Order: sequence, then C-alpha cells, then structure tokens
Amino acid sequence: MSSTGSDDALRIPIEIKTDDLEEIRELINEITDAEEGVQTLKPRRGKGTGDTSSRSAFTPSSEESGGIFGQMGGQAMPTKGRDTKSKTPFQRENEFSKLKDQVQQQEQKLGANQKAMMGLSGAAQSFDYVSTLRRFGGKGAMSSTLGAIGAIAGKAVMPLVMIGQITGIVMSMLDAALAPGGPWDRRFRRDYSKESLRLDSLADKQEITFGRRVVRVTTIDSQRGTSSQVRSNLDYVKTGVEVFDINGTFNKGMGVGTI
Amino acid sequence: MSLDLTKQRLSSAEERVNRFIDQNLLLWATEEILLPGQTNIASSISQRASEALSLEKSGFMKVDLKWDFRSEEGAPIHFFLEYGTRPHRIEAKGRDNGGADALHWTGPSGESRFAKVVQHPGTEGKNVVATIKEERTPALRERIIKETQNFMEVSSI
Repeated sequence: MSSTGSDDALRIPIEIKTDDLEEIRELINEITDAEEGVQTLKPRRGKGTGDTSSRSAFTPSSEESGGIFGQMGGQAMPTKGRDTKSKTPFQRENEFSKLKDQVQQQEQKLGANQKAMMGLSGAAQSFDYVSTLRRFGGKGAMSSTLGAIGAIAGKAVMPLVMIGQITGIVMSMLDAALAPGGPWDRRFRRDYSKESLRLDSLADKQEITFGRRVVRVTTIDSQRGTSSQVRSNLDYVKTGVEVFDINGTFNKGMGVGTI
Repeated sequence: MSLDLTKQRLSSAEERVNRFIDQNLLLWATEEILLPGQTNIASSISQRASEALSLEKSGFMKVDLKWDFRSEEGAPIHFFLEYGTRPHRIEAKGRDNGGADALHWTGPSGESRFAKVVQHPGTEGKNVVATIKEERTPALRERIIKETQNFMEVSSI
C-alpha cells in the first residue's frame, strides 16, 4: 500500500496495463493480424509485392503487365543491374522473343532429325523394293532382269543408308555451327575495325577528301547505291567542299537531307 | 475530425486501444470504483468521510483514488483510519484553549468516563481505500475489456 502526491491526502494509484489484460492483449493481436492481412490485400503503388499467396483480384501476379507472355509491357529499360556507364545500346529481352528463339531452336533440331529419319525411311523403302524385285526372280526373261536389278540394288542399300545418315548428321552439325552464337556464326564475319573511319589517320582522310574512298550515310538498313536516301562524301567532293574542316573532324553536314 | 481519423488509422492497434482506455478510464473508474467505494465508506464511517473520497487522473492510463478526510482542525483522519495509529497520549485542551477541561468517552459497559489525560493504546488500520481498490478493480477490468471490445467492433464497422 502506498500513498503518492505532494499533499498529505491519501492516494492509492490505479494503473491499467494492457499487457496484464489477457483479453485486451488477444484483441490487439487479432486486430493487428487483421490489419496486416488487409494491408497485404490492398493494391499497392510503387514498390511492394502485396499478397503473393492468395488468388484475390488484388494479387499482383508474375505477369504484372503486358500480354500473354508476361512482362512484355514493363519498363522500357531495366532498373536493376543495368550498366549505366556503357555506351552499348541495351538490348531488351522479353518473354515473347525468348519463346520465339526457343521455337526456332526446336525447329532446327527437328529439321536435322527429320533429315536423318528421311535417310532411314529411304533405306527402308529401298529394302522393300529390293525384296519385291527378288520375288520376281526365276519367272521368265523379264523376271530374271528384274531379279538381276534387285541383286545389284540389294548390295547398294547399306551404303545408301550410311550416306543418308552421314548427310543428316553433317547437316545438323552445320546448322548448329552456323546458328546465332555458333562458331561459324555469319553475323560476326564483318570486321568493323576495317569499316570504321580512322579520324586520326591523315592518309585515310585524304582518300576520303579526294573521293578515293567512299563513305555513304543513310538511315535505311541495307541501303546501297546512290539513291536519294543515301549521302556520301562524293557529294562534297563534287562541289569542292572540304570533307574535313581545320579541326580534323568529319564534316557535320554529312547527314541525310542536309546537302 | 478527418485529421483525427487519419491519425487514428495510422497508429497501431495497441496505441488506439490504449488511447481509448486512457480517455475513458476516469469515467469507468468513477462508476466501478468511486461510487461503490463512497457507498461503503458512508455506511461504515460517515457521509462526510465518503464525500472526501475522489478520483484524480495522474497519468497515461493512471488514476489515483484520493481520500482527504480531515477533522475540523485539519488532522488527517484518512491516514489514521487507513493505516491505524500508534499508542499515543491524549490530553484535554482546556477551557483556555477553546476546548474542554476533561475528556469524555463511553466505557465498555456503557458508563460515562472522564479524564484529563489518557494513554490511547492505538488503533489498527482499516485499509478502507486499499480494500475498495482490491474489491472493485476486477469490476473495472471487466468494464475496460467490455468497453474496448465494443469500441473495436464499432470502429471496425
């Protein structure tokens, strides 16, 4: 028993602590759990995953945005793990392009297998023909001729089968080697070091200025020739304008449509 | 009003419950402890003693049961009743000091007794307020639980 206060009145303190009230404690826990549940069910803006377990309409799924393949309409540039210093243009992957590549790879594999199978089926057909021809053997002149052909064909079947199989295997190996990323990938045959303009070489600049080396500029892929969509340093050479200015930089007026 | 609601939603469930209890504790303690306690004191001691019992808010979720029962001279009778008294000497004030020349009391057999000075053996403490707190606190707890549950049900709706 205690008395508190500055005056000499008797004071008995009564203090309420929710920790001591089991029912209140349980109630608070229930409310807290319910509110946390509501928070997870609510759709969120910005970062946050929300409820990943339930199938509610508010649940953000893995294919949060964009199409049947998912994540097709996401951010134009990835926000994580991006190399911001590199000047290399970022190649954005999406599920559709991945799927397309997978389908193409499968088609290539199937094509090689199909060729090998065609070799085998051809061999089997040959066996059939040979056995048919042999059945005619021993029945008249015509039959004897056919029997002779059958005997020759019978000897040629096995080499033909082997040739067919080898051809299939070689074709599949070639396809694999020439496929994108393979050792003989044709996309990487170009040597850009030979194609790029060496601005530090006066000899190269002279060749361009004199029109001995042609530099064509166009915005259209694979555009060749000197159509109206292509500009080259020859246009400058014809008009007597120096392609390189005194600072040694390539003339800025080389762009399409500015001549 | 909307600011209050926003604040309430932002705070945790425990804070909301505690605030609700704190805001209403004085009222509930008055109904569950003070009024029954005053009835007890009025029947066991006196009406004036019961009116000296009160409640004061002393902090967050805290109230004090205060008893300030004094004699006309200002003696703290509440302490004497609550905790008892030690053996002590009682002397008549005397007519010169505005009192009587002799003390008077009734003996065990009902006869009047007079003396100028007595040695009082002391009294045992009655623990009036402590007993009220002990007896009535469970009712206050029940009230808090009931009111809080009602409040949370209503606020959740």
